[in-house]
Amino acid sequence: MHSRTLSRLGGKLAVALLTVWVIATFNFFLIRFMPGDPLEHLVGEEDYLYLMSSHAEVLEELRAEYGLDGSLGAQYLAYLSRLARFDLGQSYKNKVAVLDLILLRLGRTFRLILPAVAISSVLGILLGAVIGWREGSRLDRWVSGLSLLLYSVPGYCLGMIGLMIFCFYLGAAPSGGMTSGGLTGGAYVRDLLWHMALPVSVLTLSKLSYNIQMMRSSMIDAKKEDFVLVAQTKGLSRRRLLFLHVLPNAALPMVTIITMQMGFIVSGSMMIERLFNWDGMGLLVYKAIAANDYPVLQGSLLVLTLGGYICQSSNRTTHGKAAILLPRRSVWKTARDSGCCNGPSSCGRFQRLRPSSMERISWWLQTALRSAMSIFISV
Amino acid sequence: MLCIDQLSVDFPVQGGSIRPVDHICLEVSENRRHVIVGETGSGKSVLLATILGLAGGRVQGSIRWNDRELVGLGAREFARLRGSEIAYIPQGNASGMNPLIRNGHQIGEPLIVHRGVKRRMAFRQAVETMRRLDFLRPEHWARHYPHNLSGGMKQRALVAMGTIAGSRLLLADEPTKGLDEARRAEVEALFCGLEGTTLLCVSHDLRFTRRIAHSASVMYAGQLLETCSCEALFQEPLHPYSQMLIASMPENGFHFPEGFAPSHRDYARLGCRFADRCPHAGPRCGDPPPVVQLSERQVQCWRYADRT
Repeated sequence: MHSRTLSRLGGKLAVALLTVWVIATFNFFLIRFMPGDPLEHLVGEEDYLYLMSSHAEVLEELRAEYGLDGSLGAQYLAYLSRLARFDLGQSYKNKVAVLDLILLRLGRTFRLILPAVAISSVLGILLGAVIGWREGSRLDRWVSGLSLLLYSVPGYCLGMIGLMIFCFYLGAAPSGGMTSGGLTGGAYVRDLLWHMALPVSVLTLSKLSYNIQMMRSSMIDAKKEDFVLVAQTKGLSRRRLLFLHVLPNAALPMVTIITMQMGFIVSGSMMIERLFNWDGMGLLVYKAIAANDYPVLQGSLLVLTLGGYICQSSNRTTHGKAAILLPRRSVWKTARDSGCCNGPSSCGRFQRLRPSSMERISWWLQTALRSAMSIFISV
Repeated sequence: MLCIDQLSVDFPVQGGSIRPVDHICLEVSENRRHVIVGETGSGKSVLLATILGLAGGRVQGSIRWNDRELVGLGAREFARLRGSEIAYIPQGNASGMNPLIRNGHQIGEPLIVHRGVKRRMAFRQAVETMRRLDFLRPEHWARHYPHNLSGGMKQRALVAMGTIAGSRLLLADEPTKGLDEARRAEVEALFCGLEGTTLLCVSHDLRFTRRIAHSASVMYAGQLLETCSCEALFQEPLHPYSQMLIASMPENGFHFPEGFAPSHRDYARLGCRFADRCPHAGPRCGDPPPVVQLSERQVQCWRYADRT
């Protein structure tokens, strides 16, 4: 039993390492194939042209200094060996260690994302539950229609509309940035919240509609279950029935959806950060692309992709989470471990929690395409 | 005493309405077990849901439970009645319990809702009720979740849930569906052992009916064709359809009833709804048959119209 656990852990570790390698390789080559020369941004366009025409050896020296000499293969090997030592390199622009840069910016991005995910899930679950419960009512028609409308508007578009209304016309919100500067204590927190309000609401709105729709349909399924009828025959009030019996059962698939959102919202918030000049991960990547800052790009793309992957795989092993929410899960898990059934066939709707290898491949493809798209759009 | 008089339920459908329950008259006295047998689609489940006030549709006629009229009761008053006076055991009890709530809390819930009992006290009473229903180690099972229970235990847990707040009327929708012989015997013993409870049960299962029922009705196409004591039904069925049903039992030769029940949409224009399957059909059967009261039993058929 003990050796089995060990070998399973070892297998998981090997898969994780392989994943890191694939992501790192992909990122490396993706970035190298971008048009432009990093040195052009480092020395300035005019100097670059001048050096190129008359002092090519200076450029070669610079190239060697930044590790840009040699073939692509040699650069790749050097990158991998540094990565193995957890060294992400330094930014070309300001010589700051990339890891420090990323950790700082990641914290700022989370300030946007965590509230947005939290609010959109809570609101989405509640609103979705209520309109799913009263399916076909006037409230349902209005909320569903509005959420579909919101869903079809891209996030950055919402952001621009928000800026126009609340900043330009009403003057109630700042046009961007994180703080006004020079504040401490309570005033600082208040100022930060004031700056956060608009970007967080935009992110929340753009995720909310999806949550509402998912929760609504899950609710419509759940309320047809037998135990709801039985609960009704116990004479429960409608509120008790909704919040104690139907909603918890309907909210289970939302666990999957929300963890997946955590992964995608990091890449999704790039536009919002750019729009509101929020100095987080998105803006870091954006500026690094514009400046051909290879180490920063490699590092941040690696971290973003890995973050998404972790969200995804924690999703795959939602054992832990779902076991808290769903007592039944522990049963089929033991059944599967003891080899008498190979999966949750008896609780079909939780099969979704475990993506197949096909799903994982498609997810990798998606992530790769997303990073490629964002880079080429920005370029 | 449950007294149903001229009960009809209409549901609007595209291009008109259907009436799956049509002028039903039925009386079940205190502490008796009454079983309604009939094929799928004959309106049995709608009848039960109507008694619980959960059917929707337009309800006409009257349902009286202990001299209290249920038809036309407000949603809140009905909710107060459900679980405290009338309990329900669902069809296919496997999914009848909420998978996320512990058995004890689930069984005790009617007490919290109807009697204002605290959660912990309700749990303790649930354990006692489970003990009364032959649960070995009820404390243990009360702390577990419904998926830990076997089919028979789940059935008993549902009965516990229905009766914990003192419901006197128990409605059961096909309680033996999908159970094996041993479980079936368990359910029979359970229902026969219920004291102080009136049972109205709906079933396809003739053997089960024979074992537990004091009285029985045969339902067909929304009408009760025959209502009588259980022995009378199995010894001497009067209505041709009842005769076909009884003949279909294995010990009576497995004569399978031929044909199908009419569609809900055709109910209104048919005279006797059984006429096209009936071996005794005559010209009179084009008109709706009268309900004939013979001593102790009630038949809806032209053949007995002259006997009164």
